[in-house]
Amino acid sequence: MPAYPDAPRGVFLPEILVMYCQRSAPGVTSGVVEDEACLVRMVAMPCTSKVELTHCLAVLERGTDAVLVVGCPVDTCRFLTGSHMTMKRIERGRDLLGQVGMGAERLSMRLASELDSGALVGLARELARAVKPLGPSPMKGVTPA
Amino acid sequence: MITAESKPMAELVEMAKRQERLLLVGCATCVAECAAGGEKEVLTLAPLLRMAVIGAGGRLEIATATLERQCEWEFLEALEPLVKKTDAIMSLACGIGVQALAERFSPVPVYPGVNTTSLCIREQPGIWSARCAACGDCVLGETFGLCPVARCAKSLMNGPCGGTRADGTCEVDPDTDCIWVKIWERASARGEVDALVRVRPTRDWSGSGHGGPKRMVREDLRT
Repeated sequence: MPAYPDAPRGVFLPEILVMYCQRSAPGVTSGVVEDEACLVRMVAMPCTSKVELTHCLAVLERGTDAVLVVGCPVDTCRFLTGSHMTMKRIERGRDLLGQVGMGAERLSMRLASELDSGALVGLARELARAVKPLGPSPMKGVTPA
Repeated sequence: MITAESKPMAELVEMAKRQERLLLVGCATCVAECAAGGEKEVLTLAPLLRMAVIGAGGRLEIATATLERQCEWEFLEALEPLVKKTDAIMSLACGIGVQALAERFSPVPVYPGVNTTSLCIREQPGIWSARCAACGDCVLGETFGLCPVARCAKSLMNGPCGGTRADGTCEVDPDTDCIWVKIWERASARGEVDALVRVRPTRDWSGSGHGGPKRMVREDLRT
């Protein structure tokens, strides 16, 4: 994944991948948003139940600074247990990332509904603030396995 | 199935950082069913190990593969081209698979990525419990299909013991049923409790591993 294109030299602007349930943000399409605090790559998913831990870790291994999964509130998940089970997977992933020294903060999940593009970027901005103290991912620029 | 659990991450990282090229091998049979060493676990562990080692300033390339079985020689051959390009192997199979790789690809070091635990059935998603102890002298025909060797904390042949709780669970673990209570219930349902009155004699445990390493020979199958 390329570095943030317009980042001022010496300023760390985290790259955040947002995988969101399309029902939590109806009308928001996948794409890239260059925010003042971070670079946000948004990927729509049919449900967060389709987000595997392997996806999140593969992205982090390639140098993305943090991954945010956004799902519907547990009681409104269209697929009943999608958000509930994904929260468990993400929590396990956070624990593992902490154990390997990457920082649990680099993986996060939020539950929300009726989000527009601005609100989704706002969630990414909050995560960017949380990971900024960790500094850039040590995997940036490392050749993928 | 043979069940296993992932080793602690610190132990895995310690093994991984001993070399710069590692081949991480999963097994798509038992350890995949118990979510310890299948393809998904391989693809989870590989980036974590790289992030741990590279994040600490080291170097690590990881190649991955998942075999249908690591406990059959024929399946191991597919790994040969990958083994030629690695310094060490980490196997997420049970101890049988780890030893098979170590024997086939000696002198390449082979590390175990999981701790093999028992022979289990999946009770519910996320819960596995022992059903067999591979004791070498099956008594399930006398105990109404419930194994007192694997499922009684004391492996009693004449239970229940005095420690059974009032709710029918084991004194050792309140989340585990006393298997002798279950045996009694099943015998009662069949109207055969008289079969449980007979005292079973002391077992010959030599087939359970206490008699040394097990080896099975079938002359009719040998070439």
